[in-house]
Amino acid sequence: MASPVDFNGLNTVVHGPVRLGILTLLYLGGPLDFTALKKRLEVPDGALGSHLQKLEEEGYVKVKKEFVGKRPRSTYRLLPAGQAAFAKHLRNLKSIIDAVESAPRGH
Amino acid sequence: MSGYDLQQVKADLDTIRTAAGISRGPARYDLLGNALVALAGLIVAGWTMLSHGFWQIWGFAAVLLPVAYLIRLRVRHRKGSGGSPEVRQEFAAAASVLALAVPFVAYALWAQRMGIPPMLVLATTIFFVGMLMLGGVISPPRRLAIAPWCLALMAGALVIPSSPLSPITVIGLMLSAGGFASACIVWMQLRKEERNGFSS
Repeated sequence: MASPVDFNGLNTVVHGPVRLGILTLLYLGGPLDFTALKKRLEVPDGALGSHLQKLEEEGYVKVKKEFVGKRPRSTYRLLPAGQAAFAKHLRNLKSIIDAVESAPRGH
Repeated sequence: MSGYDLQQVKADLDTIRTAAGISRGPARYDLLGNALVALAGLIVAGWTMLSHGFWQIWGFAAVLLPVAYLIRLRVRHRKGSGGSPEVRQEFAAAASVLALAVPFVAYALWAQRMGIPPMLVLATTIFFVGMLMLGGVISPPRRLAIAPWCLALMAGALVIPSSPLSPITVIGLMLSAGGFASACIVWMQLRKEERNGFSS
């Protein structure tokens, strides 16, 4: 039986707790450095780094590397493509919720 | 349908809510958890009134009820959604309360050295725990349901040294009053959410 709810069309790059968390934080809080993202999302360096790299490859975020004193700092900023992808993902989630809400109930 | 199912939609919404710092509303498990603590408190108080001496301490076995419920909830949550960050953080916050045992032991040892009666040490410790919890009521996200716990702990702590009842009975009554009042507040919040068309 066909599902009344369309789950297709969702961006798999945006989906997932770490990548979605990164986009949410950058969308709401503006540019953030690697340490701030790590603290807020509670993920190990390696995992965060690979997800950030994926978002960078997709053109969703841009990194700025600099030295503060003798310590390196990587600051991430959301690019327009990332903003659009995040906003679209929100709309998609909302449309799924709306579809489930309006779908005929089985009881 | 792709592998992207409703459970994942919920996980995504949880992720966004956690990252955005949006507070989760009260849930049914908050209601049941508080009600179980209230019941355990009643059993503790009832048992201490029936038993004497060393046997009174066995009343605390009733506390295993809410503890078992919490463990069951944790296991079910892990099996169900793979663990949303928000609920995981809640469990971590609950577990971090155990860290209070460290300063408490240090305080108890210091008090023993200074000759402070153990009853006063117990009372002041409970009072300070109530005060610490008050932070959760005052600072955002303001959790009103914690307020009865703060009041019960602080009031109970002040009663312990001068009460004719045993301290275990007072602790049982404290748990019962705090749990019951907190469960009532959660129930009212859930009712309000249901009326507004939301439910967790």
